[in-house]
Amino acid sequence: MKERDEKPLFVRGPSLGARMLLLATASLALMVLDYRNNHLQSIRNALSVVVYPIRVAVDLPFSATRWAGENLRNRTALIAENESLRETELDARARLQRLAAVEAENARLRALLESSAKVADRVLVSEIMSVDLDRFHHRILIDKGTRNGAYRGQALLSADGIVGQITRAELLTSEAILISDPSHALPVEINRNGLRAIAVGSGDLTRLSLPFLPNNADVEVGDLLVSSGLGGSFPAGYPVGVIRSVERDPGEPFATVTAEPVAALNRTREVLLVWSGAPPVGDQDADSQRLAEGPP
Amino acid sequence: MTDLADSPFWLIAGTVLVALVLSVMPLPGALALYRPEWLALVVIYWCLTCPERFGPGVAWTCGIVMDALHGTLLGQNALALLLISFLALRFRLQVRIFPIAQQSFTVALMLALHTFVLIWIDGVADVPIGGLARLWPVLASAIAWPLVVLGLDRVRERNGNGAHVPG
Repeated sequence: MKERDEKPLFVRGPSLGARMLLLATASLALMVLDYRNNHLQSIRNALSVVVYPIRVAVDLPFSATRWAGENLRNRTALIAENESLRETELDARARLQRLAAVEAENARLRALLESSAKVADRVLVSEIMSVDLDRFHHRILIDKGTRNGAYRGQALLSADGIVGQITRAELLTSEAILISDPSHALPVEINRNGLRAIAVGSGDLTRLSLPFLPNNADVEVGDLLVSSGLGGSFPAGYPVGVIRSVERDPGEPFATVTAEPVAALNRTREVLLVWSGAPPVGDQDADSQRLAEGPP
Repeated sequence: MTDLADSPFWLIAGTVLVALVLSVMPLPGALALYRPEWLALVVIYWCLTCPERFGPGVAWTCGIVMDALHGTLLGQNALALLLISFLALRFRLQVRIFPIAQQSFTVALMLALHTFVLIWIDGVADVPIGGLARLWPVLASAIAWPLVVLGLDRVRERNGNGAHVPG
């Protein structure tokens, strides 16, 4: 208790109010800098390394369960799974053969038309970490960062279709936004007739809305939406969703069209990072993301 | 709530760490909507019980780490937790002698302000604000407050400081 008595009765240094004011100003300044794109990238990177252990620790029980699930399975289950995978692979290979022919034909036709051929996309498998970033936005954390070449605005695919795009690439991890987030918009086209549209997230994982299609637009239930690649951040030609409902009200200028994402946004564990063609230079990715994120 | 004996640094850091982990721990389905603001509760607790160690600066730092962890605007949670720590430190002597139910109510008021600051910044920064569902965590935190007090008091007693003062 001796030690305690020697403490000064009044705290020296700046008063509580002064300290509060200083720190409040500091946080306001930080927020403004952070809001104005990427001024704090280095601080963010440093902090992301600091919180990385927490993220890994949170993810650990889930990945451990998965690991155990994979390693402690019995022989017959494995054999059965192996068999079904082999069948799927055979099927996929057969399709791929046809695709190769079609791709070559496409390249020849494009050469005839003297338009540039599509560059093959490079992909990297990445895993979604079981970390709950925010209960009100559809955002995920993936275990690849700038160290692996991820960049802001990069598209994420699953086995079925487009999942989202990276909103912040940190050193070891990246944050991505799902296409179903209300603040996300994605340039798409209808596969059947090439009609362009914008698919906006609805806040519901199983629904996208296409708000700017006129009443007389040629769109039907069951149409497949593929990415048009117009915004620049998503590669063209990947499936996005299937039209689920079209409501045409003669009193309204636009039809109410909703689509269902083909990628199971709430069930995916692994996503593919896609590099399409040349990597973006300088601030171009930020611009293209702005284009992709909101209808003008 | 126990008296003002100093708590070792590692104990404070440990509780903050646990709160951070709990704040990003995936919860099944709709339960995630009712996740208490663990870090804010821990900040209030330490501000009330151990202001020599836990001032606005520490609360602010916790907020910055929280921002980095959740990917929110850097400084958003820091500002909200700063406000919380200010209220807790300012009204410490009153709140400490409140009965636990009244403390919960006060904590709910503090967290409502905290949430208001977060929503306000979200609104300015064009982040979707999420509507009335944002208020559920406030309620959940008020319910969780007695548990936090009970748990942290127990931890501190076990670590040999904080002789229990009745009432």
